[in-house]
Amino acid sequence: MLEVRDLHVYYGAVHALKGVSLEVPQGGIVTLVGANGAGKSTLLKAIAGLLPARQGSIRLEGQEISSRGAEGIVAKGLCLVPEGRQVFGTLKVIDNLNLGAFLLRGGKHQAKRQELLDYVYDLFPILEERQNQYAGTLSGGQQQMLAIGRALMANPRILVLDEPSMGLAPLVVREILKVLGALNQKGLTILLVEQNARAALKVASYGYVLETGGMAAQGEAKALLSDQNILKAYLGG
Amino acid sequence: MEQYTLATQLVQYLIAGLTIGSIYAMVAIGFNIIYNVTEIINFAQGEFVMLGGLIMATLCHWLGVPFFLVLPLAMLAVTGIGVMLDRLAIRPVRQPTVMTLIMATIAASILLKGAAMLLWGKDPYDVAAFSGRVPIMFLGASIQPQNLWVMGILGVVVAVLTHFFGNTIVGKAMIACADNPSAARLVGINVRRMVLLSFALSAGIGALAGIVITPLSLMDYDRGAMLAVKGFGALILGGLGSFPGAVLGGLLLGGIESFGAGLVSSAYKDVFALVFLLLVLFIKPSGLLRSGAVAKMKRF
Repeated sequence: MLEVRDLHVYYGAVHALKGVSLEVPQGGIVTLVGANGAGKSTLLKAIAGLLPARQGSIRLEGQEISSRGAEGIVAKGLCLVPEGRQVFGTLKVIDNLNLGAFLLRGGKHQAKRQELLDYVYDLFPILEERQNQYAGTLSGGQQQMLAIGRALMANPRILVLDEPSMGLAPLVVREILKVLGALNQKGLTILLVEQNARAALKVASYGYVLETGGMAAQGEAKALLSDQNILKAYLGG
Repeated sequence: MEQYTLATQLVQYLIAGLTIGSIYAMVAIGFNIIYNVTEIINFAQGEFVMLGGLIMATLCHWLGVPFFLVLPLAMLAVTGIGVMLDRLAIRPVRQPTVMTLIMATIAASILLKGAAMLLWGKDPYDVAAFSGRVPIMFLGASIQPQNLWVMGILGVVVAVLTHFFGNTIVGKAMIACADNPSAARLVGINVRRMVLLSFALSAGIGALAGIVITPLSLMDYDRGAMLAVKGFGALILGGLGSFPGAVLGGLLLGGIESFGAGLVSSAYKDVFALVFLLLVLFIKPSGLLRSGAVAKMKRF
């Protein structure tokens, strides 16, 4: 579904990604773990079109997307839930969700939008309760749910999440990971970036370990979890 | 000879104040639209007003067509200039910061003013009033029909924009761009197009303000800067970024000027407005209608 090959990305003058390759199969749930500063967010920003790729290719269903720009990539069916949630704090919850379906605006897609909204409210009932509240006034966990909901409103075929557990209570993290698992069950392809490697590897089927701009290891999630060397070296024991 | 009592004078001042205040409010609204999308204060906003009036005057004299046919043409022309401002002065800036972009708008305003002086000369221009110049008597005060037009058009602008930003997805997308441009791109909003739209919209509204005020106070190449200063004052008074604040600030500023000029001395009319502005800034720096919480989320 998503195929990244030999990707080089510069963050200003810093050579942040030095030839990274990664693959997410259709219907799969793949996680990318690694320490702070390894380049995880840079990789996701490049995939989502927020940062330009200097070299290498990013293909979505066989089509090159690396030169399409963020707006074009959303239209292709890939949505990024950015690090730190990035909800539109000065707008209401319902407006945030409606903006998620910005590319589906207009009367033609009215029914589809309603269907997506019902689906999101079904996943996160708290968002329906708070729909007229300003997004900036939500708690961290609710904002994360809103950020995921907003991405789902674009009706993506692959959802990419950057550290959804950041700064959240363990209970909330568990709930969010549970929803991601359920979404995957329903056929959504997921690429999950996490610092919380153990939790991520538990929901994912396949994992990659990124270290200072290059892939250090990859394998079945279960195998990575049981590999003592990898756990010690990259996942903090 | 009719007796002018204090009461009729006050009504007269009030009408005059609300009229000029409506213009300040429209200038402030223009500032707000661009500020809300980009956090830039567009100092060429007054120039849009000036160009609206002058282009309207020229079109009327040249073509001699009735007014309501020319009005959209004049607005369109200024909207075009607003689009060019974004394309030629804002978008090409390599490493845009809010400060460099604001300087680009100042440069553009000087350029537009100079070009207007070359094209139209230094004389003021007039445009026929929308529905004649026979005054209407109201509570003993005489009101030009044009005064009502000015206030009415402010009302229409406010109603249309309230609907646009409150109820339409494109309006919300513009707010989203200001709130978080990269997140806006991630939901598929073309941020550059929204910035362009904000310049077009506020140029159009500026032009409308210029067109509607010209029959009352004439228009010349040099009027833009002062209107921008007053409109900016209105904006600060009401609270940067707030549309109700822009309207309230504009009308208050216009009223204070008018009453000050009428009751004390017209030589000091700018002083009254600025002193009031300073007082508000001392007492409530975020402006009358802007909450401190929202202000804190903005960079300035």
